[in-house]
Amino acid sequence: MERKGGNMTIIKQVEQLLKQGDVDIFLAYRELDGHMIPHGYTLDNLEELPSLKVSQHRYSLEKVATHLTEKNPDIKIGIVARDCNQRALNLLYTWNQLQPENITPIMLNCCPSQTRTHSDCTYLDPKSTGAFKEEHGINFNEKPQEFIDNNDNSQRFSRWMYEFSKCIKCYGCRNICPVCFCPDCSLENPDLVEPGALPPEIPIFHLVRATHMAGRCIDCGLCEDACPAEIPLRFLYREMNRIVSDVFDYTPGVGLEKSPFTVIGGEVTLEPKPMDA
Amino acid sequence: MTIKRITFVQEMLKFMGLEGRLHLEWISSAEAQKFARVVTEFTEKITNLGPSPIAEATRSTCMEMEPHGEKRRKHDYHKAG
Repeated sequence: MERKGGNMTIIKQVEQLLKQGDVDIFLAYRELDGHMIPHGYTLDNLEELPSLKVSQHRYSLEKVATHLTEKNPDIKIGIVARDCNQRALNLLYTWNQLQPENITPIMLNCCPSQTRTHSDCTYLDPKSTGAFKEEHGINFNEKPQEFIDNNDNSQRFSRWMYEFSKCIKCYGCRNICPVCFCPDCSLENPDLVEPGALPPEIPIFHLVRATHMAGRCIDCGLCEDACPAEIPLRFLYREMNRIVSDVFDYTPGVGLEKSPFTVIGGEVTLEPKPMDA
Repeated sequence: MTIKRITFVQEMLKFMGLEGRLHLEWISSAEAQKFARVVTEFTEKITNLGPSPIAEATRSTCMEMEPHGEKRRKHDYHKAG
């Protein structure tokens, strides 16, 4: 079920959904001391409903939904969703983390386009690159192919090692990620990543995550927003999924197609790369 | 499936600047000569590429992290990009 929503009518819609029993809990945001924080509205706290606000702020509410579903698989959840949230929901459906019949998204305005000037999405503002970074050739808006063309092997390597060495291992990228749902995380496995070292073992720490983002990342950009060290994670994961799209002909989140990483077999027309020294 | 996954990792390593250090080849247990040839060629290739730059880069990173390290050195990231 999908409903269209505007800013004014959304509170009424949520109230109706809750009262009719269409959803047990509605995940949205409320304003608290000037901050927008994720909040679950239920029949028990209907009086809080007027504090529900639609703003530019984003959080991976789908992740909250996944955790709730983990505890109670039959719970019916309503959720405010933009395009990126919808992609994340699709991805979680295909990985059996959520059931579409239990989720009721209310769609919000998203990307500015030629037909729509209004935008609620922080992530569309072009990222600005500071003077220091620009001076050192770091540009968040760089295109992956240009990065490969303009930098040779060792230049690419030192650039990424520089980026990764800033890591403070806060796990913010993983914690915010709407499509990270494994109960056991490889990044916390002491056999794979040595505990207690800063920066974490590079580049393994980041490449493990990059590999796991292949075929999963829905390009919401929350990881990069969350990263206190400003590692250009979106740039990295975007390229990972460019490769997935080329090799597997799959784009995560656009439909309900199963991830090729979960399908065994299939016809392959690829040839192994030649070994040219 | 293997070929797709390996192609992915090869492309990832290329993006990372570690191109050419991973190779995939189908060799039957009856193809001893092919096995010997491929392994020899790849060993040569890796020898020519030299040691993995990860060890060196990690060493310099640790040096930089030391609060009072004498040999504090800057990264050569400015050469990139």
